[in-house]
Amino acid sequence: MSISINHVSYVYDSETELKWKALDDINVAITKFKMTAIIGKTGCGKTTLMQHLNALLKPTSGEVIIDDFVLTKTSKHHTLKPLRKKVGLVFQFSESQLFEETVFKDIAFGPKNYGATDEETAIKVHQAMQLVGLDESYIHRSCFQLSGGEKRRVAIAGILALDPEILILDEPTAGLDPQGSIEMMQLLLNLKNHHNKTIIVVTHDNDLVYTYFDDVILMDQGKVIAQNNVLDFFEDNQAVVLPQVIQFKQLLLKKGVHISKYARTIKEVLEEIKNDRIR
Amino acid sequence: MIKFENVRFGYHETDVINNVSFNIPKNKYTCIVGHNGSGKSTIAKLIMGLENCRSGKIFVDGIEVNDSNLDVIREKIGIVFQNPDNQFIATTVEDDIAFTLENACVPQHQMQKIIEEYATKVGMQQYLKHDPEKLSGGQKQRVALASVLVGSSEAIIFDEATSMLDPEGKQEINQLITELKHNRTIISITHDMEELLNADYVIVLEKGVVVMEGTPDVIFSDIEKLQQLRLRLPFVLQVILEAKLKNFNVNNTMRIEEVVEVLCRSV
Repeated sequence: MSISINHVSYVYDSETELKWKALDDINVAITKFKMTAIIGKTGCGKTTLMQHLNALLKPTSGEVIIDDFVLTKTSKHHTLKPLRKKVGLVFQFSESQLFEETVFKDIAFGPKNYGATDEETAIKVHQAMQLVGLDESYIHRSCFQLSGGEKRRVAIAGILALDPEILILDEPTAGLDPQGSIEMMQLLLNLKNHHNKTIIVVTHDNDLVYTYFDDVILMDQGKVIAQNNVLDFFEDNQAVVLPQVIQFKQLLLKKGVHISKYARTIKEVLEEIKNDRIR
Repeated sequence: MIKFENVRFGYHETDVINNVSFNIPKNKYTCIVGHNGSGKSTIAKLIMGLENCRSGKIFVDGIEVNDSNLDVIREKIGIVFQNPDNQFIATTVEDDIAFTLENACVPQHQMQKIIEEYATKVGMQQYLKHDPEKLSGGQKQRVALASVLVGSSEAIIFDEATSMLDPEGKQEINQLITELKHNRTIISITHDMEELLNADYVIVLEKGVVVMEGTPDVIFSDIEKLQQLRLRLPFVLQVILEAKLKNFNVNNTMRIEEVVEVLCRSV
């Protein structure tokens, strides 16, 4: 069972003069049950790629394989439902897509749409709220009186209520304050570690990627130009703005203090220095 | 440049902005920070006259903001919103930038050159014919920025305007903002505590109240308070705090190199 993208290209506005290739022969495999970050400059195709993973877009050429589902240009619309259930997609500024009057109704929309009974729906809503850390007091509140971070949790709960195996999020921390960003990361870690979810995140925050993720995919101009586990990726990659901890380690190295690649927080770096000192 | 005098504002019964007073200096770079829901973005809306305060007064360049002079206020102040989808007017990038120029009565024959100049500044010169709606989130933020920069406003408010940019783009745009401050007032509403290091003046909001105010030096000298407010410290201060906990003999400084020096000497 796997997620793989084989020779996928995607052309926007292919019928017009403005046509441009957003994805250019992408070949990449994503490991399940891990947290993978897709990074790259604005406009490199990150969002377009992730929209292929639940068939919001169909490749102009090539194929997307998710377990036993194969998505190609010719995939018929009515065949996509199982894929959409398996792969949940959380958009940029997902809070702007809340539309129901209450938190409960908004989260319940998905399961109901997939034919769940009222009873099943209620259970799913409660479970999803628990997963994103919204307590019972939120259930009948209006979505529009919540803070940005809370709204985003509701939007994620709405996707989780469909019980997807794979959760894809586009810039889930954009616009959240530092504390909110850390809470979001802990939420995703919990989903991975305790609920067997595969997490794929499009992000610009290399500091968060370095601290919380397993794997990194780097895109540039519609191509995947690097893929590695997070420790090795940042250790020897000059193509990206390095996480602050790595910059710190490099400054130390210039002064002759070598820190191992396994230290990825300030605390861990200082512990290594301290151990050196004792030795 | 912008002055708040005992301003109150709220939706329904609750106060979002609670008796706030401050003075944003002219031709300086001021950062407004605080958590989600602290009232930061509301401050921007009040300045622009998108919301009316319940009590108190707001002055822009000495003019009190009220419904009768919004056109004057909006000529003086430009804004780049957090979610740029909310501010596109035209169906191509160049038309969107041109809209600002048309409003400023720039003659047609000069427009193309100015549009290209500003599109280049934000790195979007190759996208002039594109539909802003179809660009990526970060590209949209760049276009929105160009459309505001091209105007002649004396002050520009950035409401989380780099939140969707990649780290490289963020560096570029922050550099651009720093250059701008020589002849414009810059107000940046931000979560990025590293950005504060470049600011001239900082206002910290919490639950609609100004809880700290001053130059970055003043703000960062009170680490305890910043922690109480659950604000993430700039990286260098995080290192210093953690090093002190581990009994390294480091002094407070804003320069990471100095800290590295001390740490290396201790090995």
